[in-house]
Amino acid sequence: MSHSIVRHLVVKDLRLAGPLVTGSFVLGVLSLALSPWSGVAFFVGGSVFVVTLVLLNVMLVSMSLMNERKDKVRVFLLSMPVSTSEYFVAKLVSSLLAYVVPSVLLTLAAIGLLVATPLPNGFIPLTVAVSVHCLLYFCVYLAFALVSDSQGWMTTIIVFGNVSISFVIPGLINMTSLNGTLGAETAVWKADTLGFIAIELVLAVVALVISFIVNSRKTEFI
Amino acid sequence: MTELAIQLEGVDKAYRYFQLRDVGLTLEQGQILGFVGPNGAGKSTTIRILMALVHQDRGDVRVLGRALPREQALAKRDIGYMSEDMRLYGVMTIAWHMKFVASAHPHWDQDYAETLLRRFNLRADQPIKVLSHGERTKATLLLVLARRPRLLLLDEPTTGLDPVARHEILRELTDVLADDRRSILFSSQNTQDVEQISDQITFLDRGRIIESSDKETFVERWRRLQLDVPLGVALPSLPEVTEITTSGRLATATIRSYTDDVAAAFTQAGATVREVQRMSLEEIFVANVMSSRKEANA
Repeated sequence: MSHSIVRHLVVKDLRLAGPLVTGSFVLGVLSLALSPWSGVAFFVGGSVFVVTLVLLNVMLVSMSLMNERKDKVRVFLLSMPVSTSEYFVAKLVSSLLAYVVPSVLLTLAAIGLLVATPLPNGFIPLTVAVSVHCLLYFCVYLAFALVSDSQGWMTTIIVFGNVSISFVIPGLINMTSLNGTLGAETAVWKADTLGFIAIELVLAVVALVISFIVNSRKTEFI
Repeated sequence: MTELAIQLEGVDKAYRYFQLRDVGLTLEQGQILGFVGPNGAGKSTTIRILMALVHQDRGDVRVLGRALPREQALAKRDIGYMSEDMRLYGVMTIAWHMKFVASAHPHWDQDYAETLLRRFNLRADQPIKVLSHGERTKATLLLVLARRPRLLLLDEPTTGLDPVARHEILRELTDVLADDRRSILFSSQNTQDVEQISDQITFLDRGRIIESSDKETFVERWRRLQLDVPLGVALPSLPEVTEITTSGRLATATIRSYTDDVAAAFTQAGATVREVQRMSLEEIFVANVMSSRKEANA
């Protein structure tokens, strides 16, 4: 595998995604800045924080993969001295970097905010678990976009992903371990919360591995 | 022995409603191969296989000595590919694309790229989305040619262009061939373009190669005979004749492999040969396709 051409493609994708990533990061920071002011502001800020991660996910994959295919730019990229598997790896790396770096930074900033302000640190496990769920949503969406040309499938993933968030957040809040500890002074990490996070991370990796296997068996790339 | 630029042997590719069957094709270095066929003949599929954008179900594909799809990245270092359905990033400028392609191609020729910019009357700071179709095509060709590829694969590059843009593009392609190590496979429905620049011509129809030869051989072999056929005279059935149409006493015979013996056979049967006409490549192409379809349906 030529690391040089993969690097060129990754750098190109990151440059093209720069405005979107920066804009999402700024929106995420604003949502965090809003949160400490009042109970309503905390709710609104928290919601905007999750919306920011979902927006970054959907728009990044749409721009980097789906539009590239729809606009027929992929043909141009595959005319470069790159194999289809190198192209796949470049897309995977650039998309992960463009999503994971800002989302991890925003999650760390959210944790920092909870630690540094009078807001209860009991929200830290919930914040991490929701961020990890958004990561799983991103990885599943990315995995489908990497191997499927179907707009219908992509829309279905978005619908399921968005609905899953509206189930997962109340579900997490009502989990035995989190219920009653959200208002605690310190973060309380219980086994079921950690188990939820671990399962979601494993599922995210599995989704990407499956997409790699499917891609390696594909015989049509445009 | 000269290395072949392209070598396809027994290549099959099946889709639900279309099948590429047993395609065999060679292109020597320094040659221009015109790939002619009607819509849906399989030209684009064949070229995509040569770029490993589509993998063959069966058969061997070698491009510039590299086996495809396995060695596609190495092969593509020396291939310039351009297709009718290839697009550039609309919001980015020509200069951005030049820089991007240059970063991945060690043989990128910046001086030549700038020469082409001037010849094509393009400006490097123009975003792709403001260009006309002809200008976009020329910008894409610039990005392909300045890589200094040993093989150009051009899938319908002149489709939808005005005559001036077509002329500019064909002129550049001819200039590329000044270096006799470079080869071009050029697909088109426009037989005039193909006739203008090709050395070799291959006709493709319904997923099969129906004939492949050098241009001169095609033009020399095919003839149309205008015959005067008196009442009661039956024209002989000759294997070289692909079609005979009649209108009263006048008959027109299309001949696949013309020799004086064919005219003599008609004369001997009682007909008079009024005129022996050369055929244009388009007429040869149509006659070839219709004859091939008739044989396939027989």
